[in-house]
Amino acid sequence: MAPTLVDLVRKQFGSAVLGSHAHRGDQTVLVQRDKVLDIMSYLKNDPAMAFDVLADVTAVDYSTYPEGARAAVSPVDANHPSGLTSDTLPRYEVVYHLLSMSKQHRLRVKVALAEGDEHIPSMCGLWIAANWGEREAFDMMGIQFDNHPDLRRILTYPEFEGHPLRKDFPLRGYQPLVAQPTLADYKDNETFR
Amino acid sequence: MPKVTIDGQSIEVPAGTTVLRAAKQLGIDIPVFCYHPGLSIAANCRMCLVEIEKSPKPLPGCYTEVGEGMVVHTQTERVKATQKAVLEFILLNHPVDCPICDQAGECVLQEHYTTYSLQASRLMHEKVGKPKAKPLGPNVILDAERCIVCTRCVRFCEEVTKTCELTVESRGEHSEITTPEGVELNNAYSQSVVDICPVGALTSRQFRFHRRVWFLDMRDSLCTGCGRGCSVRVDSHKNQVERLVPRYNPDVNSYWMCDDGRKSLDGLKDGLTMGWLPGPDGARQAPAADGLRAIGAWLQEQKTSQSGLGIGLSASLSNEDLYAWARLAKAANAKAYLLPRAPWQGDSLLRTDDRDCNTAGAKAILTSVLGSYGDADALIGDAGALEVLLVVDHGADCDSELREALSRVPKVGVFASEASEWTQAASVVVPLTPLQAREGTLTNVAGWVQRLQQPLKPAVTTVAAHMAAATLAPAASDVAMDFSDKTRPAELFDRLAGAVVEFKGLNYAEIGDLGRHLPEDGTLAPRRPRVDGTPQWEPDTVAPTFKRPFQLRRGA
Amino acid sequence: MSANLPTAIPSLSTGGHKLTAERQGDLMTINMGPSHPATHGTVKFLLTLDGEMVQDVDIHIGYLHRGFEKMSEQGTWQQVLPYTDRLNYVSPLINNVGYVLAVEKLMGVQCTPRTTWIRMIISEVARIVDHFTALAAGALELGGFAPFLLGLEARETLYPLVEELTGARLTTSYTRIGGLRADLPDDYEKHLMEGIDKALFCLEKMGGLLTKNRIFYDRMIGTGPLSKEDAISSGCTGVMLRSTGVDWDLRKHQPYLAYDQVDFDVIIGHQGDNYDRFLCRIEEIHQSVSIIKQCFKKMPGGPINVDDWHVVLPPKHAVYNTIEGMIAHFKLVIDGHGVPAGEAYQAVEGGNGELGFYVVSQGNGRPFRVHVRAPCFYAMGIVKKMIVGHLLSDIIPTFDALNMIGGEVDR
Repeated sequence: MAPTLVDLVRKQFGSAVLGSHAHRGDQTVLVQRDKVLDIMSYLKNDPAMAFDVLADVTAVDYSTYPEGARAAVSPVDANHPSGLTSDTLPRYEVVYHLLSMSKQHRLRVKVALAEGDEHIPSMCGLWIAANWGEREAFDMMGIQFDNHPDLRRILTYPEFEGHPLRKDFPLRGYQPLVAQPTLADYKDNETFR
Repeated sequence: MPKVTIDGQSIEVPAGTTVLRAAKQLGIDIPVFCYHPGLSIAANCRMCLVEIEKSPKPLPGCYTEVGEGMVVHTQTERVKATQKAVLEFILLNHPVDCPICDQAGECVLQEHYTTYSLQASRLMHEKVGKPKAKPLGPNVILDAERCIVCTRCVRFCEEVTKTCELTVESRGEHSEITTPEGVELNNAYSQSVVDICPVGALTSRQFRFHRRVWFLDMRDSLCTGCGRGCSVRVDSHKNQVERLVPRYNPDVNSYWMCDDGRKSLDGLKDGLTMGWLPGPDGARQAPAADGLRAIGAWLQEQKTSQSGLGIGLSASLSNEDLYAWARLAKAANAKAYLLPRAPWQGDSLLRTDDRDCNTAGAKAILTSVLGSYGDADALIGDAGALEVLLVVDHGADCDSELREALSRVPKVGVFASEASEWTQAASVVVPLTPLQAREGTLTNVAGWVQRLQQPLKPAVTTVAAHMAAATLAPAASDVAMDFSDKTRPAELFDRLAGAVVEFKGLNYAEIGDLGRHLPEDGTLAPRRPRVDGTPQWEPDTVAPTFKRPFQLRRGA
Repeated sequence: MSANLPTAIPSLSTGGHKLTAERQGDLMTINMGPSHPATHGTVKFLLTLDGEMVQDVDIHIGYLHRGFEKMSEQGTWQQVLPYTDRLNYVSPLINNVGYVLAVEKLMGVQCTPRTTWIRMIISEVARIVDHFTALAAGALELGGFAPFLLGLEARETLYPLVEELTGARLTTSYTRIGGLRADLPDDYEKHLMEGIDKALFCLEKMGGLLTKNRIFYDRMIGTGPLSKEDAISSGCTGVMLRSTGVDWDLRKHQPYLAYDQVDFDVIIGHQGDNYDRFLCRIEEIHQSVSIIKQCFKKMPGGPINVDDWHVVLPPKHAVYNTIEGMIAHFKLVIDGHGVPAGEAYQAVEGGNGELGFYVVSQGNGRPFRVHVRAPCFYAMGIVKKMIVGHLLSDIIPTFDALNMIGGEVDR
């Protein structure tokens, strides 16, 4: 049997891959943050991978996920050198959906991020699509994308408080009302740019 | 110890263990209707049939005891076919009632049918009709059509209350739960049969048609109706209590609670949210903060004049409240009186003679902090010498003698969560947060310390009793306190545990959902002893657990 | 133009031509939108203009953000479906299909053969409506009122057919997890083909008015240029991508439903400008019609719902007359579908490109996370590059050819 995409990534990056699954045919790798830029760069540029499209960037907050069930979505290899298991994975996961138009295959890359340390390198240098995708993940889930050229809120407004798709974001509440910005605001205030 | 193999997993269990319990220890669920861990085994529903090697027919798992080398299968085609057949049989005459049935949403029959059958009906005939909405007693109403004749209720009345009001009459599909001629189901625990009914056949008159269960906000707490302090779950909707149901606690109440306990929260519906203050044009309504300010002024005055201060405490306050008020009384040099409620007739099952939920804690705390305290008679005797009397959560009935005594005290302040003759006799009334709307601990008659877990939200105009004491402390005395109105009950309890020898070694976090026993001879029991009569197995291993249909959250 | 307007404009480097220092004072910052009569979609362009030349733009979206993803986490799996109608509200049927395909993928449920083909038919009808709307609105905003009326008339012949099928023109909610709300009505093929014929007549007249119209041509050709590389890198899909000459259509290259069993062409442009997008849309309508015809020919009979009460509600006569059906119905409505814990991503070819649903289940009846990969969202991300350095008036055709749908971008 030909090696799967996951096998190839594992061969190339060894223990930087925390785990993988192919649930319902979606090939998925869970990788470590410090290697994610290398891995993504490899996935884009390696001729066997050729992931020319970053189809989607999003994030998931697993803080209220049922205990012990995390292995169904994010299985971690047994005895992984990092010492992590599915049950000890941190709160957030950034999820990239990659697509290769030339090879016609897809791969899901996930990176788990701890609460209070929601930093991950930006992929803006690899795909233009990362710009808005990461802005949305930042806005909705509060993930900080390092070296992003323009990390601002995108669906909500600059004064919005909190990140709505976090599980602890309340369903009812008030957000600050802001005055309609004037032209002078646009001119002087960098947040409107 | 016999070794049994169930679905390929082996386990050694003590002789006499049933297959059902052995399977549960392995994490294998065998469905049941008639089996209840607090009752004898009837094995009449046949839902738990399992295949046991060398046995020609499937055997009921709830009844069959394990034997050495027994090999049990719970997932074979034959078992599944049996389960389907049993469910088809049970549903044969079941009415199409889910939309109007109180049990819908927490119904074992619904659960099992969706899990183990989902087979369409093959019935070609009329269903057998039976009485609907038939009162069995003052609190319980039977819908005989929904009944699956598991006889849990019959066994409950025979074995737990030993009153034997219920029986099965007729045979076959005409079987029906009923009471003998001239008898009604009116024992003190009658509503427990509603809890254990796996379907919607037995319904509670109080809860019937009041609220669909998936709208309920279900939170653990304690019953405050008597000295037992049963573990309960408070089901509320939009902060209104809809019902109390018992929660399994092997040391306190097993699976049961009494009917009076279920009614104990009825008073909350019209509880006090505003107190009152004397004004130029008669009394005016006032929130707790205003009342506390007025009483604070009294205490300030009293601190300089050193006139008599009396504090009447109820035994239905939490441990933290009593500790805070006892400290205040000590610091202000006040006389303290413990004012218990008039006792009622208890019984040997759960109900205690004492109607106060924290008498044991109150006595221990007051003795430890104050050394000595008086009772209602002492209060009547001292009334003439008192300048200020504060009554916190009146417990005792305010009889004519007491009323007369109160009229002799110039300044009477009452902290109360509901109106009574005490509040009428007071010049300042401060609304108290009821116990179910706040955190805290209670000590029951057998020495179990358990947590109230704030199933309801407090009104903003009320004040918790311990916070009232902390607020008044600076006005009452110059002695610095190690707590303030910002101190949470959890911290206060830990201070209390450090100061009161009876509570030594306990801490709030470790009390958990099921409570801990007070230390005996200075040492905490390492492991919880069992109460006689309760089945000897781990909590919640076999007790019917209802999956909540929704992730319920506190309403607005 | 007063002298106190911006003197230093950040990120000018993205601009088309260099500005001399003495002319920087002539730059003007204006808002275009969020409610601009010439944009069909609520979006704000914060433009920095040098005369009529766009020097810089900041695109503000989110005016239609309704918290689709947050709402989806509150109900049951089936309750998310009506929300999907409001994503791309011009082709709600495709959203319905995409969402249930994602959930079915996660559950491991395969819909029946007849349902597969019906879902293809409704997807294509929705695509035709979507393209008609884009063409008509695009024409209107360039001043062509007659083509607009023709396009809307074509849409109006199709909306009643959607209504006949689903009971609603827009809020269709037609699909169900494991099947459909109902089978096709009687004689639906005849009605639909008649409606499509009328729509194609309108299309022909509309094309006749526009395709070789000098004014239209001048405003469309060469405007909104997009290179192949940028289109791919920015995640553009659908017509936006194909207009640049990239041969990529999910229906062809990663077929779902039964698109591998129908014969159609992927329409690609050659220079990636607005005119290419216009022509692609016209030709794709014809391809969709061809797919619909093939579907009706190949569609098998049989049930539309899978035979499993864990997945599909029991028939109503069973619900109202038997306790078995009642319980199954009750539990499915109250508890929701028992979707096993896991995650799945399902992409379908929406009206504007790859419409993907990323669903995560926690193992019960309520979604843990539903994320929509909206085609317009990523396309909007590259608009800046398409309009900077061009005339202000070119924004209109560019934005129209992109066919941004606020419901989908903002969710």
